[in-house]
Amino acid sequence: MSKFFEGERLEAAVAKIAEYPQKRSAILPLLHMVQDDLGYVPRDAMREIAALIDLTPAEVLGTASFYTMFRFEERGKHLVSVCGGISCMLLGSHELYRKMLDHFGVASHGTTPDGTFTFELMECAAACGGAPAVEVDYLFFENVGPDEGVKLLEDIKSRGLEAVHAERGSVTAPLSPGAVEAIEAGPSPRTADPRAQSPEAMS
Amino acid sequence: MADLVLTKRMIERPDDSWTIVAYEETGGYAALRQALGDMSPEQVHEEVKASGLRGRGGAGFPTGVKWGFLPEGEFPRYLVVNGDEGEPGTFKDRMLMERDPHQLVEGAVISAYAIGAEHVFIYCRGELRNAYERLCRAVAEAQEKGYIGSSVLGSGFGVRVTVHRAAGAYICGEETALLTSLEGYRGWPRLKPPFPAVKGLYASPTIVNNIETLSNVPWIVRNGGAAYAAMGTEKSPGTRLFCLSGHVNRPGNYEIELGTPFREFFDRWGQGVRDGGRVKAFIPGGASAPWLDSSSLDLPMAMEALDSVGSMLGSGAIVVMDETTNVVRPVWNLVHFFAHESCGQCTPCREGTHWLEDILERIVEGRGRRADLDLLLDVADNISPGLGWPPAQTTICVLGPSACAPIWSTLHLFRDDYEALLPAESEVAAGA
Ligand SMILES: Cc1cc2nc3c(=O)[nH]c(=O)nc-3n(C[C@H](O)[C@H](O)[C@H](O)COP(=O)(O)O)c2cc1C
Ligand code: SF4
Ligand code: FES
Repeated sequence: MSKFFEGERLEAAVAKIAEYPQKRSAILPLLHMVQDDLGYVPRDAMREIAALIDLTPAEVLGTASFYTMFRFEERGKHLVSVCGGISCMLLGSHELYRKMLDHFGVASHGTTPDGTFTFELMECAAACGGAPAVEVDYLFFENVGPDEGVKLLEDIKSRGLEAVHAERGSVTAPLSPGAVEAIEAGPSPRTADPRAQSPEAMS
Repeated sequence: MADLVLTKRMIERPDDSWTIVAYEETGGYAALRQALGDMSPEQVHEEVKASGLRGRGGAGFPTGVKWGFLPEGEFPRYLVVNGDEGEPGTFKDRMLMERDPHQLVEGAVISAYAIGAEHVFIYCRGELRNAYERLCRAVAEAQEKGYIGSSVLGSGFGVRVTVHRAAGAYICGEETALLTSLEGYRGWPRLKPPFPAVKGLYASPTIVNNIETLSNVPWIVRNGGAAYAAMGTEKSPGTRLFCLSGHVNRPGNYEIELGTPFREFFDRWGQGVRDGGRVKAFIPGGASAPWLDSSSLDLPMAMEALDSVGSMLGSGAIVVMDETTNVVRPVWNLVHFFAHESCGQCTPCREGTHWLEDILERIVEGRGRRADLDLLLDVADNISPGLGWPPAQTTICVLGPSACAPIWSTLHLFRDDYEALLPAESEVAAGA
């Protein structure tokens, strides 16, 4: 197998390592470089990383395996991460996840037979205001109702992730409706001693 | 009228607030010029102290005081910005990174000047691809313009800024785990003391601050600490981003003055509970915070007020549940989260959180036993003796006790919900 870190990639890796006072700090960035390109981190690439930052391959694997984002086996073309966190769960994300799995006939954390999608239930995605939230290759789709997920994925499959994300996804955390009113309404009355408003003090 | 400290630009320029052009056109980097041109590092530090700004990452520690813990004369020093946002319910730092990355970069560079740090690391949660890309672009642009470099704006003060992409481990939001992770190891928390200010990144003095905390700094420099302190309450000055989610009609991030009562926040900004319902339970400050019920709705959203009822404003995440909710399932959801994210170093946390998760699972699935309710408290007490808040702990970090808070607080407030899921005694006898 040819080396991963060659030519431009090697230059980028060397530049990355130079950003840190100690080489070892570049371990996650280097693993990301591999995974961004290949979708997973093969053993051989970990050996190369070890050589680049003066570690043993075991040290690289030992660190990498702590972090849930890194995958050590090939996955589908797209990674579909449905948020299973509390706010999304309250609005039906587990049902959404189940419906996606059933539609594509795969088990939880499995890959569709055609290799298009790999599924996972992720922890809170930091999009709770847009619950239920889904990430596809770490791009956000928010307010995906339980019945909407299958259509979203079929759409991505036929028209491509970029097109669908441009239309339906959120590039940026949405501004809250009413955020502007919050300024216009002005401050609430200043509480000199907040305890004066606590229930004990009021009763 | 309260000014908007954090979100003014993104509200006024929703289509390009993250660009260097929009940032400079709206007064961006003026605070940096002012700080480097007219103020000594000590003066900047004094303004931050005077503002009374308290950390927005969870613990609410006064920022100016924390900066004062750096041992004199010890260099190099580092500033590490915590952008690992992952506490269930919290989604404000992501918005600040995506929509106003230059505000953060400016705040971080000014803070580095104030504390004498030569290198800033922004630790960005790995799953937030767009936030990471926007931060990287902002840093590159700032560098081109001379806001970052070996002599910032020709002042002689030099600083480097590195955006570091994490890789999916909630525990790395805990400051010592974050530093271990940044050094290239598994993200294991370390015992404190020594605190990071004394012995942090690469064993050097290090300040760790949250994204939102540092995003306030440009405003404080421009307007003065006193102007900031004039907003909010005496002990919780300023404005704050609250993340509202759950069963409300209008979830979202709202920047409001500290001290607003929860009821007003829910009704006015959240537009009430869905389907015209009422609040049954709410989490006032992220997944780790003890839960409250509707009797606490008139409490002001101020750190000291939450302290007085044994909970916390924590990360600013508020999750609302309506009266159709049986709380046990969402509690199980949170406990599952903590069990999954336990780093495994401490036995009470590693073993205990899984026990708690298993017990809750069987209760939710209708296989619980009456004795399970006491068993939950017993196991929790081994992780967090006394079951109070702020917690006592038998563990290195506070993740373990955090897993217990939803359990004991809801067993106290909503015991009926647990009992409703227990099979009748006769069924248990028959099944045994
Ligand atoms: C388990 C755990 C997770 C945490 N996660 C975060 C986080 O994602 N972001 C954050 O800013 N602080 C987090 N904190 C708090 C940090 O340890 C630290 O107090 C904070 O970053 C300090 O910044 P501040 O003083 O500006 O709030 C976490 C703490 C614990 C115990
Ligand atoms: S309390 Fe849990 S998460 Fe924290 S150090 Fe111990 S085992 Fe790790
Ligand atoms: S709970 Fe789903 S994004 Fe936070």
